Amino acid sequence: MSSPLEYIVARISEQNPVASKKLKKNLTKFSDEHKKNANEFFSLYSEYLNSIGKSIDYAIDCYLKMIGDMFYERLQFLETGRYANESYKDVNARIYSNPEIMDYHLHGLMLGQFLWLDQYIRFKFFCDNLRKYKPITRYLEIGAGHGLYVSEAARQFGEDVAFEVLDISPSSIEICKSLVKGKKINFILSDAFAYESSEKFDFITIGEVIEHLEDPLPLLEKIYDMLCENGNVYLTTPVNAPMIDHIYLFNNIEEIKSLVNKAGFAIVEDIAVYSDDMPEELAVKHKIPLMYACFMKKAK
Amino acid sequence: MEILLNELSLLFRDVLDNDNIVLQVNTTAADIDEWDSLSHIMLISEIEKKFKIRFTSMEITKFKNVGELAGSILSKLPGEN
Repeated sequence: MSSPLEYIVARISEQNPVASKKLKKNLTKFSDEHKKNANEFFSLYSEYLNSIGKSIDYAIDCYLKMIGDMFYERLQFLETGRYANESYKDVNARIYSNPEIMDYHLHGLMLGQFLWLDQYIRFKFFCDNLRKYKPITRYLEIGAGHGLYVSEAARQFGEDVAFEVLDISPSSIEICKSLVKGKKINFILSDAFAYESSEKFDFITIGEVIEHLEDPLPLLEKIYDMLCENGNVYLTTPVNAPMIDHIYLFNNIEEIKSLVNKAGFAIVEDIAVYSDDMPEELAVKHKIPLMYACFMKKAK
Repeated sequence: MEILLNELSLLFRDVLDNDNIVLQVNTTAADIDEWDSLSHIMLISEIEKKFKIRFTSMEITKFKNVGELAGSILSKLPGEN
């Protein structure tokens, strides 16, 4: 009997030989730990899908639809040098307010978290380095996503820490809740700008959020205000990564660093991984998405 | 279809830098090493330019073989419907 990971890759291969090539190449580079984590996550995720009357095959269909969108957006991006979206209002009308698109996009991303090597490398970077930023008592995550990061923080930091997760999407929160069951996490349906807390946080995670904004600086400044003086932030965002809901284009890592510095942060450590494994020169030439992650602190 | 397959073969050879490519209706990405997700975007881009057509996001990834790709191109060409 095949594992959930093997099953997913096999089904994608049957339906889409082009998209499966990269996955099969990725699989040869997955560590045993990666495979174990992927299978645990996909099993949990399958349970959630079953609970809502769906199966992992549904998620595979969603993944392939999302890949279609990604190819299409990339085609436009390579022609124009810009992301197709210019305003939050447009994305909201076209994507966020369209439950059908949001549904397949969210479920597609769920599979991508472990199928795409770059996503897993950044998750591993978080897991391997988080302990350095102890002790903490209050943890905030902006953007619920798949719940992997907050789950790992809860595992490493323990029960005495207060965990809060903010998201503007009820469906994101619903999925996230089902994947972090058993953990004491307070989910709040709110825009980060509307959110007010009487106490500051020792650690704030914001993964794959700022590229969805017209101007990420005000949110980074808000995070700065919500963070304790000696607190830390874990941030991820991509360079050259067109998606149906991405608005703010970072052309290179220097632009990200410059922006976080402008918001008052200093980068403690970082990592960047191309979404396709190839020589740097070719990756730059083809504008291959570069996935960035960093731990930050307040610049004194 | 024969003429279109020949034209596509030339285009694939050029984009994928492989002079040995001879496309058949049942050819898939599994048959051509160089045809991956990255080169697929370049192929689609060149096909759109050559035939002055546009694929939708659904079409870009749903082609299971060259026959389906060719069929989609034909359906978009003037006078083919």
